[in-house]
Amino acid sequence: MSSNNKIIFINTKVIFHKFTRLLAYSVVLFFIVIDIYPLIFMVFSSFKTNSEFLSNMIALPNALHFENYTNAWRVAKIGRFFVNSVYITSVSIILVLTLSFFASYIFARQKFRIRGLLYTYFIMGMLIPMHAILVPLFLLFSKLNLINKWYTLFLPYTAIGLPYAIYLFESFIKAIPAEIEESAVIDGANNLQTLAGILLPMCKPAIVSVTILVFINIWNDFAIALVLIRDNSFKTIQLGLTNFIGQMATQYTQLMAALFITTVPVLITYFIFQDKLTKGMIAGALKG
Amino acid sequence: MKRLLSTLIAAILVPVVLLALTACGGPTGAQTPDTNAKTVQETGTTQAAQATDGQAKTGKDLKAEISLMHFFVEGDGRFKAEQASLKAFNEKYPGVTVKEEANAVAQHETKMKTLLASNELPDVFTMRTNWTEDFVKTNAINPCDDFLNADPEYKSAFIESFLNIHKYNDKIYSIPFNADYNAIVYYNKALFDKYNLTYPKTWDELLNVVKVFNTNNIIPFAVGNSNPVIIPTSFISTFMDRIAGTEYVKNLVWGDAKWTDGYYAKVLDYCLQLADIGGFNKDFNSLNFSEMPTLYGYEKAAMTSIGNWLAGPIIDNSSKELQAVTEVGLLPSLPDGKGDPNTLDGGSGWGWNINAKLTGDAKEAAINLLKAMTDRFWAKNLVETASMNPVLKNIQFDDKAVSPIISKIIKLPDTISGVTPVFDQVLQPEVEQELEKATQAVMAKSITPDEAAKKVQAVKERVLAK
Amino acid sequence: MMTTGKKNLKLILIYMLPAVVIYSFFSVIPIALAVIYSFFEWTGGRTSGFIWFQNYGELLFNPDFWNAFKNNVIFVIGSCIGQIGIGFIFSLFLISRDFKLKKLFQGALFIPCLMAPLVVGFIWIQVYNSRFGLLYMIFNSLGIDFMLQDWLGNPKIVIYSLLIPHIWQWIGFYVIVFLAAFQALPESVLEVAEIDGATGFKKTKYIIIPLLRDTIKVSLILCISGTMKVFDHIFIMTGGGPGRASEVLSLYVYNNTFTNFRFGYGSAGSVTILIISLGIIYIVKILLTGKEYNV
Repeated sequence: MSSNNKIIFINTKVIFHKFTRLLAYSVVLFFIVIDIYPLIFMVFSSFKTNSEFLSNMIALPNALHFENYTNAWRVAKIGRFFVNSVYITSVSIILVLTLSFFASYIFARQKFRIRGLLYTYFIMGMLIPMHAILVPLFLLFSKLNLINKWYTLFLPYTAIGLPYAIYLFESFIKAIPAEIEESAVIDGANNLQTLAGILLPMCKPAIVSVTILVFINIWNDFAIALVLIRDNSFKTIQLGLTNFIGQMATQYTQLMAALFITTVPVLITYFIFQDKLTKGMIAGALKG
Repeated sequence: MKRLLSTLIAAILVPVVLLALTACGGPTGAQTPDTNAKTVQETGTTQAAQATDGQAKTGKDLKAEISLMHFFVEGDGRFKAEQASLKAFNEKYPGVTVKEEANAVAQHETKMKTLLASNELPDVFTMRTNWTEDFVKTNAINPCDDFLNADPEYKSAFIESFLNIHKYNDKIYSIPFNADYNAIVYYNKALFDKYNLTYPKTWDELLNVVKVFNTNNIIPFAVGNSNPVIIPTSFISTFMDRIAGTEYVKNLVWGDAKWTDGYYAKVLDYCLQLADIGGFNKDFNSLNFSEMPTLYGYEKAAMTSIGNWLAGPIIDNSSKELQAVTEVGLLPSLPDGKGDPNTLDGGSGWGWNINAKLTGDAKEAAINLLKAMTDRFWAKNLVETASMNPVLKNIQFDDKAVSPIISKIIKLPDTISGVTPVFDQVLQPEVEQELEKATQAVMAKSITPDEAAKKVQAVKERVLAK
Repeated sequence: MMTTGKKNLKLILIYMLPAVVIYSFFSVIPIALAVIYSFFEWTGGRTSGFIWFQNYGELLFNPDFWNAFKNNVIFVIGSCIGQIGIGFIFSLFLISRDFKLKKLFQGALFIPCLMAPLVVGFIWIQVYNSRFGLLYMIFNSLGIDFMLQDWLGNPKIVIYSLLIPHIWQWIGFYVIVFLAAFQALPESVLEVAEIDGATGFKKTKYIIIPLLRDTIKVSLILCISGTMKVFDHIFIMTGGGPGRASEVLSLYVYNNTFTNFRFGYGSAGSVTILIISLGIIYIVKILLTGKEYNV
């Protein structure tokens, strides 16, 4: 586009343009503030004593009670539980991505008679309310002797993540022209090579969306973990966080410290990958 | 195509069929459970009989592995006491391994019910008294009378009325571990003196007190009803007693008195009146009860009506001076009230019991663990470290080690003329839930007191009809 | 399209089987069991009675159930408009060439997504706190005290007070979904929208949105299915109260299953939620896509 055109547009629309820009930036700033505020709130609160917190939650802490952090680490057994949450979530995500990628590929590219039925079969899984299956899940796992093992939680988490993943992947793959794979086949690649080498990299945005969605659902779950796990050695961090909730009172400030400790690594991980994975997405939307 | 279809269908159906076969533990259960329960009971009795024959195994000989489940997480005031009791137990019975699991109370309830549904309860556990009926009907628990009677020294330590609260069909089905007095009014005597007020004993005196405090920008009652059990437990239960008398309340809970008889609606009217004239903080329906101690502690509120179970947080939030001037009193009498104004609603909402399926050494170990969680050692720690009332008689504790508030609360039961039931401890869970939600709706002015009464009565009738 | 020969059937089988097996076993069978339970009057353990559709009958005639349904519908409509609408607008900002603060904005938007409902609920309780909540502070300093409400205690507005954290939390996720979709669009289209500046709004409406129809459909379905199940943060913030003013379907089911010991009735509620959700999604699909292959 020639710069002449640009200048003309800007000249005639400059006033309106400036106002909407101001509005837009105000809204953006507002959201940045309200989105970061919880973290700040967490940090401030984590340095107070519990009664100090309950009397005025907005005020700055009187003194820095670092012991809230050491206590929180101990009470929520953060060391152990965090590690559990990490490996359970990671493995479940990998399982979901793998299984759903192959299944979605079939849904998107192959025609077979029961495709529609099978697709609906999977999609219905997105609607299953969590508490509906607590008791049945427990019964099932109990009969099959799957309770309280190191691999117990992979199974329901993967099963629950599959519908979303298949839904997202299938939509995405459908939009990619099939000719790309066909030309690879002509070039002599077998099916697996085509998938892994060509289709998979093209699906990066979908992989990002799926990973995020599945991660959020699994990391934050505690109903299923509560019911299927007994030993402290396998519990997840969400369960550990409830240790601060007594019947009569809650140790809010230690809870805040624990929340901060457990949220920050996740955020850091996201920011590291945000750079790599979404750089392509934002800039790539406007190449050149 | 057929192969594909059939393989996929098989992949789905085979597990289903497998499951249908294995899931017999669900609602399609067979007749065997009853005989199981009977056998357990018989062996249990013979076991206990053998034990009392004086041949009980000594601590070191007892070998078993048992599971323990409760809600005393670290954030709970009773954590230290429970850990101390567990430690004492482990020292006495080194051959017994205890697998402990603690979850915050809401999670504990979810998990216990899930386990109940799957017939996989742990060995020793805490349960709410109003679960008793359902637990008994599914043969999950046995009466505790056997081991209670086998150990007279242990049994006589209990205040009898509390043991009786845990009765169902005339048998004791769980062992209490702390006493709840749910409508103790903690009041700041210094504030009362400042405005030349005396603690109100009648409703009209209360209205006057409220007026004076409001004029001086002090919240009369700190109330946090976002958990809707608070107003029923700390106002409604006692007010029902004030207006209709303890016999009527008992009849309402266990007999055929109706919620629509008019008393409940009248009590709601009184509470609404109190709220309307500014007797409560304005956000009482969305405030969490954990903020009640803070309001009181920072002297923004002159009184707070809540149980002895919140004494710990109240103490934590009050300066030493405030603790010294805090007195405890009862809710006032109501106009035209038929009840004795000197009663307090109280009881025991939770108790310990053991799994009915236990036999032999495991059962004995479980019973001993239960006793460790409810004996005099536990009670002493309960007072000193958790600031709660024990259910045992004559517990000696160090006066200097506890706040003056605690001393006053411990002495309070001696001054009252009777205890009236706490609704959330004795009502069937469904009725209690409806009571809570209806009361909260009335206080939020969504429905009228009469509508609330009809709703609660409807649930009561449905539950009784089952 | 690839030829469908026998070899391909084997491929289909191998690729599909693992997903089908895990999903069937650990998602479908539990819900099937729940369906079975819904036909019983079951209070746990082994006592039960087969009561046909009685649970469903009771459910459908229970005003509390419909109250929860109404609350859910408000939630779904509000969430879809809020999460997807705002998410879409923000994604437009983010692909705008001369927009500064891109990384900061996108990062900040995403933070709420990662927070556990426990945290979200708790933080927003503090925002709404009448004595020192954030809203109180803001209204106070702006001098508009009279507009202060008991945000979570007023039964007329509580459901809307609860809607806001839910929208706030998920905007960031839909921003990412739309960004992913934009990447798949041909560049020329986006350049046209970008350079036209202010009039870009109209170009957006007539060019971009139709191209994104599929993504919007996907987002709607994700949003509806997620919001029909909403539970955690409402549980923490109001427990469904005051009274039943903010009770949603999943809370209603939870209360009946775990508090009231009525596993059969609760299961019937869950199955009904499932059917209703399916119905809503089906309607949405029809409205948006007319006739496409299969679902």
